[in-house]
Amino acid sequence: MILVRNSLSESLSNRTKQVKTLGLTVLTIIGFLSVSSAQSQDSTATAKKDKDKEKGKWGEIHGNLQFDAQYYNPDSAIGALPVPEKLLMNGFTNLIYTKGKFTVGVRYENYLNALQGFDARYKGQGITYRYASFDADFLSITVGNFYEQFGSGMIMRAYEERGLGFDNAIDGARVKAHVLGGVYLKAVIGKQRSFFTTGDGIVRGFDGEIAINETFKSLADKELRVTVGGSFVGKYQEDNDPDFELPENVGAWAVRGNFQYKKWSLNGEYVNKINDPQATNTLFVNGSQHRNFNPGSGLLATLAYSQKGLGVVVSAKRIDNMDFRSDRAATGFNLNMNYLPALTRQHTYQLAASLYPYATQPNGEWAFQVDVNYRVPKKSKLGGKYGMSVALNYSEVHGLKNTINAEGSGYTNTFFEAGELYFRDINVEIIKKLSPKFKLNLLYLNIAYNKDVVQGLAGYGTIYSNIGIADLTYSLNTRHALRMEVQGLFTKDRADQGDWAMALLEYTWSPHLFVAASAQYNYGNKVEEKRLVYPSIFIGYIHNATRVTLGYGRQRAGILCVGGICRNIPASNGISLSITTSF
Amino acid sequence: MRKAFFTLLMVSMSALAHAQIAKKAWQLPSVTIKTIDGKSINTDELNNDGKPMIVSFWATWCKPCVLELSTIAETYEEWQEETGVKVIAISIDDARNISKVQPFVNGKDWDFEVYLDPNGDLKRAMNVNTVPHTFLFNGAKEVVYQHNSYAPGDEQYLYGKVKELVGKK
Amino acid sequence: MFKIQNIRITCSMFGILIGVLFMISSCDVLDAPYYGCTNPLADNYNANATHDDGTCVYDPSLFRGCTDTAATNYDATALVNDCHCTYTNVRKVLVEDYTGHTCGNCPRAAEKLKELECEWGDRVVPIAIHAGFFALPETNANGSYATDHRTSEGNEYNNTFGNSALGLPNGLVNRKLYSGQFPQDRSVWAEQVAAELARPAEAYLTMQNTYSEASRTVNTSIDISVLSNLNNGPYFIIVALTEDSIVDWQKDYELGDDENIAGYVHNHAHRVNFNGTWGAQVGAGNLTAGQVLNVSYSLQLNSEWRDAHCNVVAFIYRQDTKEVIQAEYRPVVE
Repeated sequence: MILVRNSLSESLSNRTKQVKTLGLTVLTIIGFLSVSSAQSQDSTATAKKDKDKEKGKWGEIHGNLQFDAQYYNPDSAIGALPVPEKLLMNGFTNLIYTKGKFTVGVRYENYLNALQGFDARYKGQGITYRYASFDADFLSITVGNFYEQFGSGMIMRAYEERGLGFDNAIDGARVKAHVLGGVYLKAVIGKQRSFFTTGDGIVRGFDGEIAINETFKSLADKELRVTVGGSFVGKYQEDNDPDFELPENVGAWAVRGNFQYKKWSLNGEYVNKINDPQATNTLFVNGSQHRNFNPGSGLLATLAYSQKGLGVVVSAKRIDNMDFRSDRAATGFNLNMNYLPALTRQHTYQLAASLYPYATQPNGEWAFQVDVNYRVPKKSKLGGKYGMSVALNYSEVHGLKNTINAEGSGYTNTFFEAGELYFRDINVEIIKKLSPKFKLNLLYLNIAYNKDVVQGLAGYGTIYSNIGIADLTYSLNTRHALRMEVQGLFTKDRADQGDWAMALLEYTWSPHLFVAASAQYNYGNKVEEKRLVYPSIFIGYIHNATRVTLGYGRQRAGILCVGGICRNIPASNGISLSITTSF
Repeated sequence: MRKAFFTLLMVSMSALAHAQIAKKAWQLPSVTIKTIDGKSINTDELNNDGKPMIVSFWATWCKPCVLELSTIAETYEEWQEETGVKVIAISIDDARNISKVQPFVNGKDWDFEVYLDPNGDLKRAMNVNTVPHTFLFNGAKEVVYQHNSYAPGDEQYLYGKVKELVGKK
Repeated sequence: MFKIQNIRITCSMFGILIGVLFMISSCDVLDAPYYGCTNPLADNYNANATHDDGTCVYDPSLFRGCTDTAATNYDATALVNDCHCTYTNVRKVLVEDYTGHTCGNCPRAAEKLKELECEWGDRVVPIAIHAGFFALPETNANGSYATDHRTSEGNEYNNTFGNSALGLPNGLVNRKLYSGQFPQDRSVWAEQVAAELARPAEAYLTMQNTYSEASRTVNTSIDISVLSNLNNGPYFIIVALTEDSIVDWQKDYELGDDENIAGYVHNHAHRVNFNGTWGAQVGAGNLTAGQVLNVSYSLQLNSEWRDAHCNVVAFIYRQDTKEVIQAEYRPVVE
């Protein structure tokens, strides 16, 4: 496919076409929304009557639809560069047809063109996901595209995260078996999705899990519940390198165990991968880039205690050279075979989540986290009339201390030794219902963020910041509520962008409407011209499973993270429309 | 123009399916999920003995989801007494937060049945795009109502639907 | 009931065994390469080294020159390769390095391209295109990164092939599509260049440059000798001017404390095209074996460009796929 730049007149007519498509689809959706609302009123009654007649005759079709469109205005003050297409849109729709034990699914995606921040290889439209599966008693077979996870995903995970533009579905075949009561077996083979095509490498994997208490009937009622599992995953990619002999078959194995005893639970997984030199794990030695022939390893362990009103989790993770892809040359969100979770708390408040969030460093890190959830009982002195919820969290991530070996194509390190600080997050959250009408959320965070390492830059160093958030909800009556949010971020020594303040006001009218207005102000920036205000307004309409959101305003450049992987969203100014529905 | 046609085709197909579905009964799909102990079960085993069932997709990092379930938790006992409804909370937390789910649920003092869907298999089978997404099943495990997102007061609306089911029984 | 259970167990066990054996056997654990100086003539020669990492130090008395017998400037007296071997009447490959002065990872790609130039001599025809966000000039107090190295033609190539949109550095090898995309990560340039050079030549380009110092005008005359029937026409030729040894700012993330280099040497930076962004058509439609065509252009150098460091680069490509079939370059001042 040739990517030829349209001439100016062609792009104008394209834009009109895009606006027309947008308008047409919006009208159609509004059209069927009204149809469905009329229909759903008598759905319960007719469903019961027609149930016996219709069920099973033709099978059923269900699906969902979503599209996000944004119109971009150039705004040089915030660094929003002009977008040649002006209007960008992502859309997808899933359809699943089920009849008895047989299922067929298909997904159509379009990127005309992809929104800012998404990989530019998402361009065009087409069917990107299709499968057929058959579920017998103890066996399940799927051909086509599918998602699968072995254990925690550190050895292999094929999944989708639409918000990030991440999709590494496997295109091939999968067999799952459930035998002996508690033995689960899975086998997969295929190539991974890479935007609108598939990757070069062939992925094959096998996973076995035994739930001891279900397999051996004599242990069924024991208090100690044990599940153990193991996996083998390998990939094959031809080696055409003229200078080096690169491994064509790269394999990894993993063992895992899950132990539950009364209020305690212990979970662990260890992964090991053989030599796998890739574009993403090269070493910089003596002024040049060397291929990395080190094996990789990953360890994840969690100990948890929970009882009514109290939950404590302590977890540790060590990753060493675990970037596993089905194509050696792949970079970015492309052809990842596994998933390395970040062992830090996932935040949702704007200033806490999008300025300094942590992203897992697959080439090496040591992470440690403690998480406590406690419910102060009702009627106690601190808890008040309704009780109070307290959440404490502490997480810290360090790099590894590597010493390049004599060959220059690997390194050594000791298991427990940790190196540079990558990230630290200490936070406390209190949720308290003050009265029947008022509910308050208070959150305090102290973050240390090594911007150079986490974002792959240089010259920024580690940024220390304190964040305070207050979130108050006022219920006017059972249907109407008003929510006010005030956030402040204070950096040490005016580092990076300096201090930020944010205020948000949201009005909701259950169950259909919401309106929100927010403003962020970078009042503490070292550079005077960058002390800007970012106002925005959102309005949304919800009907059952359909939601339409319209937004307008300035959006600051930020980072969107899901799991441990993050996407940079550039600054933008303009109107955005988002429609999502499922049926 | 091909692009517009394709989009229109997909949308009209879904509109058609949507209109049809309003009349048809959508049963809970058969998918393997995990219990909070890490044991695998099939969704066929979820039931409430012919009484209504609320299935809510949530995640520990999803503020409105946690708010919705916390609000329901406050009046759950009354709901159960009055209608016998059962709330099943399906957590879509992945490996990052999955070990936190049980302690989180206990720390918040929720009494619901909680299950884990770490790779989104049930979420995909039920065509859930974003959480919170809540489904109401009648006694025959058919979807009679679903709602995306949460605003204070939505749980009252949901409970109204539950009472409808029980009243009309 | 019991029998069915038995069959399930046996099948599953058998399946597991096959699966496990398959997995275990499919693991290539190889000897890691040993990086070091592999030339026995060097002072720091390491007998254990299997791959040269460019750190060889030679006694200054050792004569440097082209040590490849297949090259036109092969010097039998040369002991050390000076990386300037030239070749005539062979297939050559165009390698474009898309870069930017604030792109801290881009020096790695420039190093890779230099490695390839050293290995293949002038069979690798290099151009560096500064484009995208990381090539934007900045207004800093100390005047760093103020130069705009971008060119209008370079910007159009960048938009067409989508290089900066995917994050720099990346490059194009003969502007070929690999796995549905043009931009290629530098880790695969070596194998792609080797594969392209292994293909038989389809045409030869013979370039002659004459330069007039007084008028600062360079005249270039290029003979195109078609070797085999080229039936995927029309074919176009682009003739461009590049400049070496431009000393200016560049970011480099591997330097540690200060990532800013004030005196970085930028090589083969694209300056301008002689014949427009997409060049001019060669012949009429398809080309037949034995055809010899000629194109000539002249260009007056901009006052900032230093003639001693400029090169004329020419390459023929298929208009439909943009794939380059032959390239050539010679300095402006011969």
